[in-house]
Amino acid sequence: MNVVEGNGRKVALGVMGLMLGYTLSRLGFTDFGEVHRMFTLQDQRLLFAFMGAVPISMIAFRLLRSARPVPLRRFHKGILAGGALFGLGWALTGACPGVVFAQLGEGKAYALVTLAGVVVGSAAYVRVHAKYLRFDRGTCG
Amino acid sequence: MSDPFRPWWLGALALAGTSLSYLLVLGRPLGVSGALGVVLDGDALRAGSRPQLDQAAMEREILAATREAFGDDALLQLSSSTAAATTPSTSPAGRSLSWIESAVFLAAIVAGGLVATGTRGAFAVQAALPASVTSLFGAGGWAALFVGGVLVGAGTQLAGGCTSGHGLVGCARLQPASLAATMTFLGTAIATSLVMQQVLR
Repeated sequence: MNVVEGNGRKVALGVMGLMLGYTLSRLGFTDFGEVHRMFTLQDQRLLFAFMGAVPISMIAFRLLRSARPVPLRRFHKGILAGGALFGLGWALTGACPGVVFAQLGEGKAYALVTLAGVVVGSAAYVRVHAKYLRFDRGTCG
Repeated sequence: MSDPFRPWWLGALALAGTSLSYLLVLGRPLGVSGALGVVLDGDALRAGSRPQLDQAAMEREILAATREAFGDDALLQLSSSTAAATTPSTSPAGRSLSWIESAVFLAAIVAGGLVATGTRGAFAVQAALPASVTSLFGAGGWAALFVGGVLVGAGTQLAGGCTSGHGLVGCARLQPASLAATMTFLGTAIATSLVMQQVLR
């Protein structure tokens, strides 16, 4: 399959985003109660969905690997610290970044508050990092 | 809850399918926090697009400059040592997302939520905190959402990825960095939630 260019990319991104938002919403990742039940180990349905996706992708990526070699992601200092902060925030909000956007589409106006926080946190962090920290987070494009 | 959620294995297929087709069509791994990073990047907005790193051109230039400065022998040494380098890829990754493309992606996720609820008559503007939040935080739920959001934003930018980038794609590719990131954020979320459950109820 060829890598598309130009407006085809925007269309493709639109379709992918739609699929992601639809799936997150339909599965229940956008429901605080459901996510909380997953994190308190009461209901594994969401966890199975997420964990089930990983091996499926793994098999598919392996089959494709010869066609598209993959650069190794750097295991940098921010990985564990960032992961911890993110996990803390996810427990408090029930939302990871994609979920916040899906929630807005569902009409959950209260997610605007979550979004405000995510925007503030992301923007503030990127500025702090650029000024003071300067290690490669692996997000160079 | 009267609305039956789709079974988990179908969701697993949908998530895997999305990340796979994203990689095939766009030539780079799916990542929501990455797209958000681009949208919030003032430089990207002003430039109209993110600076594009043409890896292949850069490598050609470096090799040419090396040959010029050190002669062909240096290139022979270089090629044998870079074989073991951590980047087995010499083909350029798909071009990074421009500002518009990132915005389109995020807006489409919103649309996905709209379609998922609208088609089932489940769309509803909810301005009040849901009971699941207030039962834990009361009116403090607003602060929890905002502060939690700040942590999610800062944390995902620091880690260089979120549930999609590290969790879905990075783990599927068995990247040690992503496996560590995913275990850390899932573990922290679980631990925090268990504490919340004990302390707040």
